[in-house]
Amino acid sequence: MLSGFKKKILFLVNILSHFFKDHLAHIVFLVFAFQVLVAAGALPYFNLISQYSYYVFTAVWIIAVFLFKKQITSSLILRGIVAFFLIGIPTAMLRLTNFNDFLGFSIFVLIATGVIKKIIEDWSIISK
Amino acid sequence: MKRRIIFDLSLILILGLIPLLWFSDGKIILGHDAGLTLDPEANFADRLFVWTQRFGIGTDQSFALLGAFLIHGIEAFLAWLGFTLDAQQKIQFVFWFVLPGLTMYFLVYKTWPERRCLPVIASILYMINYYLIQAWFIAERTKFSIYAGFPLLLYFLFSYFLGRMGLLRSVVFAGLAISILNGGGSFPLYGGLIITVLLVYVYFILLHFEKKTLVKIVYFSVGVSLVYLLLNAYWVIPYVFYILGFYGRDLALAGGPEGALGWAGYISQGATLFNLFRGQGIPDWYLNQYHAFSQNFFTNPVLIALSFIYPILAYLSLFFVKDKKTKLLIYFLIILSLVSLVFTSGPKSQIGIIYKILTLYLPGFAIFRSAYYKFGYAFFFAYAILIGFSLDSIFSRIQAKLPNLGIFFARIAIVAVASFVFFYHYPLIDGSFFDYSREPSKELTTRIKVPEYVLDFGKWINRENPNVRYLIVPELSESGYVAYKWKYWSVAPLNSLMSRHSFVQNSLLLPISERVLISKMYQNLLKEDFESFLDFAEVFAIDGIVLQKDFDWKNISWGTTNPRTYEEILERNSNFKLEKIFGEWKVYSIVGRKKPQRITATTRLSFLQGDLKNILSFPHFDPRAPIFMGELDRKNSPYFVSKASEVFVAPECFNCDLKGPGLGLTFYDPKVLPGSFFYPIISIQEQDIKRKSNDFKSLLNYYLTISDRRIIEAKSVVERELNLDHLQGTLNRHRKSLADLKKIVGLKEWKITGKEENTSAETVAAHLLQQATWIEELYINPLVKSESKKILADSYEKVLVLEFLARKKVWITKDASNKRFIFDLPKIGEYDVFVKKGSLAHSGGFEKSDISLAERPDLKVIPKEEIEGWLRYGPLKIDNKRLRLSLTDSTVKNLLTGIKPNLSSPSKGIEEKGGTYSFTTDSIDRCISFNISNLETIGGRYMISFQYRNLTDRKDLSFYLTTPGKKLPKLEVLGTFLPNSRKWSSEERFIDPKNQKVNIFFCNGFSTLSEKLSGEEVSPSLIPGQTLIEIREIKLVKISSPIVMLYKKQKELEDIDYVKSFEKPNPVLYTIEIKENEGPLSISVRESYGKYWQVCEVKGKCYPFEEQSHFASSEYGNAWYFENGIQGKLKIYYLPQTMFIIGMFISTVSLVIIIGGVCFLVLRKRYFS
Repeated sequence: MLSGFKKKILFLVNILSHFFKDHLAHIVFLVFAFQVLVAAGALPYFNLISQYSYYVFTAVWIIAVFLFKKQITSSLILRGIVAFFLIGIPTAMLRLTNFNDFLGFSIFVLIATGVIKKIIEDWSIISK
Repeated sequence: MKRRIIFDLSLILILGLIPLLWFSDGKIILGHDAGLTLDPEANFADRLFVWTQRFGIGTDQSFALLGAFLIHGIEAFLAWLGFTLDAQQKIQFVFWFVLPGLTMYFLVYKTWPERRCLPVIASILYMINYYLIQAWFIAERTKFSIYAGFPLLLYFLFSYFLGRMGLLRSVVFAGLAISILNGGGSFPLYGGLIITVLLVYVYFILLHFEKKTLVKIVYFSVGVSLVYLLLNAYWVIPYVFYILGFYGRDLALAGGPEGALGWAGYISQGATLFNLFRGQGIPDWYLNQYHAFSQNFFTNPVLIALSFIYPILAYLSLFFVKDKKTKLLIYFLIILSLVSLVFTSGPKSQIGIIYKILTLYLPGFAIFRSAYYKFGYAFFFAYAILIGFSLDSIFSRIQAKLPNLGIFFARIAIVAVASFVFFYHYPLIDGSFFDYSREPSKELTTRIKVPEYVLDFGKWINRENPNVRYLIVPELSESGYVAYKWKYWSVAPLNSLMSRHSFVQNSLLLPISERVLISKMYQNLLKEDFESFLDFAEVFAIDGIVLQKDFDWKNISWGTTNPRTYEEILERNSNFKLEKIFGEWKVYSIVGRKKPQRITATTRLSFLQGDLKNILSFPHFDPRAPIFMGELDRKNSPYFVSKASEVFVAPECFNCDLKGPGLGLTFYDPKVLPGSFFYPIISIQEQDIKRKSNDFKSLLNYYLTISDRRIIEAKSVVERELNLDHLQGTLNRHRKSLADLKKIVGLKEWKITGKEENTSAETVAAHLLQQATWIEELYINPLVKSESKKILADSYEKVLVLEFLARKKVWITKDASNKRFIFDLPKIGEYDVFVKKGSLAHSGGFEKSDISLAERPDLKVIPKEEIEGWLRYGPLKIDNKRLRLSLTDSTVKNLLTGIKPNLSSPSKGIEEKGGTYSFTTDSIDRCISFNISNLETIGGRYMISFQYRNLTDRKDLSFYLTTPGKKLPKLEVLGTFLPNSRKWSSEERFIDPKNQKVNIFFCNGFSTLSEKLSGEEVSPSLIPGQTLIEIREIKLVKISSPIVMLYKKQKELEDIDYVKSFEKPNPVLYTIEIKENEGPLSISVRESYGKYWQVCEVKGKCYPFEEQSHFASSEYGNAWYFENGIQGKLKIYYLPQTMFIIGMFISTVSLVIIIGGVCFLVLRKRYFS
C-alpha cells in the first residue's frame, strides 16, 4: 500500500515539477506581477483604494488565464463557476457575509474571463 | 396559428390572471409611490396641463411624468367606461402583468422559432421575478412600460444588425415600440436600456470593426431617436424646457452628485454581486427588517438552495451553446448580465468604483441614483433568456435520449417550470408583497379599503368651484408622511389623488420656503392667534378648512396634533363656519370670504425686508397687497423700494433661542501632507480657488480655510511624525495666511449684509480660537524645534488680534432678556418702530421693554402705546443703513418664583438657606424637585439655569427632567451627574416642551444595591452630616424671539380691489377684468411663483416674462407691478403650456404619418406588388 502511495506522490511531484520546468518563465512573470501590484498598494492614492486586494486578485487571474491558455480552459472555468455557486449554498445559509462577497466577486471575474475566452476561441465563427 | 403558440400564449395569459388573486373585500392599491388615483378621469385631465394645483399652491409638473399620458389614459378610459375602482385596477394589473411576457415571447420566438421551450420559459421568467414583484407593490406602471418595451427594441435592433430587417422598418418599429411603452417619460428608467443599446453597439463594433458597422449604428441611433422624439414631443419639449431651468436646482436638492452617491450607497446595501446573481439584492429586503417575506429568503435553507438554481442554469448556457447565431446572442447576453450587474450593484460592490466615477464626473448620470431600480431590468432580461436557453437545451437532450416520453413531454416540462417559478415567487399567491412593513404599530400596506366618506368628499369637491382653496388639518409631522387610520400612507397628499382642486398642507412635495410658512400658519391656528392666521389665510388665498379626524395622529413616527384640538378651536371660534360633514371629515368655511382670493389688484405695493411670518397681524399690513421680498431679490430691491407704498423691515433676532452658532472648526486628517510628492496638487487647487474667489464672502472664506488647513497640516506633521523637516515651512505659510486674513478681516466695512457679517464674524472668531488652542498644543510638543516655536509665538499673537477684530463685529443675543438684531435698511429715513406684544416672553410687564441702537448709545426708547397687539415706540430717524438694535424683553421672569420645591421624604440632609439648597451626607439618594405647569407647547422654548458646587471630589449632583407620570428608571440616574466643580459653576439646560408640565429634579448621589444592603451608602472618608453639594440661583425662564417691525409709509393708501371679475377656465389660464385705474397697479396671482407666468392683454400684447415687473410675492406667489396701470380684460397664461401644445401637435401628426405610412406600405405590398 505504501508503495502505491509513493507512486502517486511521485507522479504528482513529477507533474508539478514538469509544470514548473515548462512554465517557469510564466510563473516568474505571474509572481512578479503579483508582487508589483501588492507593492503598488502602498503608494499614495493606491492606498486609498478600498478593497485593493480584490483588484490585485482580478489582475493576476486575468494574466494567468492568458499565460496558461492550455491549462485554464473555458470548460474548466465553467466548472469553477458552478463549483463556486455550489460552495455558496452552505455559506449563504450560514450568512458568512464577507466570504459571500468574495465569492460573488470571484464568480463575476470567472464568468467574465470565461465568456471572453469563449469569444476569443469562437472569434472566427461569430465575427463572420 | 400553430398549436404550440396557442399553448404557450394560453399559459402566459393564464399566468397573467395572477393579479386577480390580490384583490378582496373591495380593497384597492393606493398610497406610497403608487400613482393610482381615486379619480382617474380628473387626474388624466390634470395631466393635460403642465401646471397643476393638486399639490397645494401650484407647481410645474413638466418633470412629473407628463409622458405617462398613455398609462393614465388607459386608467381614465376604464373609468370613463364606468368600471369601479377595483375593477379598473384588476383590468390594468392583468394587462401590465401579461404584457412583458408577450413582448418577450415575440422576441424569443422570432429569434429561436426552432426551440420549443425557450420562448415560453423566457417569457414566464421575465414576467415573474422579484425585480418585478418589488415594483408591483406600488403598481409601478412606468417601470412595467419600459420593461415591456425593452425586448421589442432589442428585437428590432438585433434584426437590423444581423441583416434580417431593413433600416426603415427596424427604425420605425423600434421607435414605435419604445415611444408607446416609454416608461412614462421617466428618464432615469432608461438606464438599463441605454447601457444595453450601447453594449450592443460596442459588441458589434468589436465583432465587425468596419465602417459599415459604424454607419449602421449612426443610422439606427439617429432614426430611432428621431421617431422617439417626434412621437414623444408632447412631453419631451416641456421636459427639456423644465430641465434647462431647474436641473441645477433639483440636483442641489438631491445633495448634488455626492448626495446622489450617498443615496445610491444607502439603497444598494444588499445589492452585492453574490445576492444579485441569485436574483435578489432588492433594496427593500435589506433596508426593511419588517419586510413581508424577505427574511424567509435569508433563513430558509430550501429557498436559499433554490435561489442558486437561477445563476447555475443561466451560466450553464455556455455549455450548451453550439451554433453560430446562438453563440453570438448567448455570449452577448452573458456580457449583458455582467455589465448590467456593474451598474445594478451601485457604488457598494467591489466594482462600484465605475458607478462612483460616472456619478461624480459624468454630467447627468446622477439621475440614475437608485441604481438597482434603474438598471436591474437589463439583468433580468438576460437571465430570462439564458435560463430559458439552458432548460430548453436540457429538455431537448432528454427528449432526444428518451423518445418514448411522447410529444407531451415538452408541455409537461414547461408547466413544471411555470409551477416552480410561480411557487418560488409565492408572495404572488396572496399579494403579501403589498404589505411592505410589518413593524408593530407601523404596519404599512398599499392594499387598502378606502372609506366611503372619502370617496363622497371627492365627488363633492369635484363639483365645487376649483378656485376655492382649502387648508387641511391636522398638519403633517416633520417626517412629512401622510397617514390615515385606514392605512393610506404616502408622501403624496390624499387629496391630490381625488381632485384637481387646491389643498394646502405642509407636504414634503412643496418647496421648503412654502412649507415653513404653512407650518407657521398651523402654529398660529393652534395658538388661536387668529389675527395672524387670517392674514396667512389671505396671503395664501385659503377659503376654507378641511378637518380630517381619521388622520393617524397618534403614531410614534408620523404622529401630529390631535385633530380633536383643531375641531374644538374651529367649533368655538366665530371666524369659521361648518359647511359639510363627510364621515370623519368636516369642511369649514372662513367667515367673511365673499369670493375666492386668488387674484387681487391694488394700488398698494408692500416692500418687506425680513420674514413674511413676522409681518402677519401687523396693523398696517394688508395681506391682499403684493409683497416684494427684499432679501430674496437683492438685485431688484432698489427699484421696488422706491416704488413701494409701504416699507416694512422685520429683522431677525440673532441667536434669540440661545442655541449658539456652533460654527467651530473640527480637526480632520489630511491625506496629503507638506513634503509629499503630490503636495503641489494641493497648491494648484488652492490657487484655482483663490482665482475664483471674486467677492468679499468667498475671499474671507478662502483665507480662513487656508489658515485652517496650514495649522491642521502642521498638527498632522507633528502627530504623525512625518516630514518633520517641512514643519517650519508649513508654520511660516500659516503665519503668512494669517497676515492675508488680517487684510480682509481688518477692513472697516465688510462688503456683505449685516446678517452675513454677523455669521461670518462669528465663524472667523470660532475658527481662530480653535487655531489658538492647536498652536498652544504644538508649542509644548517636544518635537517642535525652537525656530518653529518662534513662528508659533508670532502666529499666536496674530490669531488673538484677528479674533478680537472679528469678535468686535459680532452682535449676538447672549441672555434671555437682552435681544439683539443686526440688519440693513433698504432705505434710510424715518421709521415707526413696533414690537409684537405676543412675541415677548409674557404679556405682563412690557412697559420697560426698551429699544436702543449700538450706533446711537444715547438713544433708549420705551413703548408709547399699544395698537392691535403691537407696541408702538414712535418714529425713529435713522441715518445709516446698517443697524445694530438691542431690545430688552422686560417681561422675562423666573417661573420658579413662588413654586415650593418637593423634598424627598424624609428630607433630612436637604437644607435651604437664602435661596441656596444644600445636600449633606444624610440625604444621599434623595432629591429636590420642582413641578412646573402651563408651559407653552407650540413653539415655546424655556431655559433652566442654576449654579452649583461640589464640596468634595465626588461627582454626585444629578440633574434631570421628567414629565408627570413618567419616572426616570433608577439606573438612568447614573447618566445624569454633572461634572464635579469645586467652584461655583453655571449650568443651563433648554426645554422645548411637548407637554405642558415638567418636573425638574436635583438629586444627591446614587446608592448601589450592594451599598444599600451593606449599609455603606456614605463613604467612610466623609464626615457624617458633611455638606456635599450646594445649588443656588435656580431659574426657569421662557425664551422669547421678539418681532421688531420698522414701518415706513411712502404713499397715500387706498383700500380698493380693482379686480372686477376673474375666471380660471383651466390650470394654466386666468382671464381677469380690471377696473379703470391710472396706475400704478399691482396684480397678485396666488399660485406658486413661476417665472413663465405671463400677462397678456386681450388685444394680444404680452409683457415679457423676463421683465422686472414680475416678482415672487410673499415668498411664494406671482405679482406684477404696472407703473402706469393696466385695465380691461387680461389673460394670465403659463407659457410652457404652449410647448406642450406644440409637442402634442408634433406627436399627433408624426403618429398619423408613421401609422399611415406603415399601413400604406403593408397594403401596397399585399395588393399592388
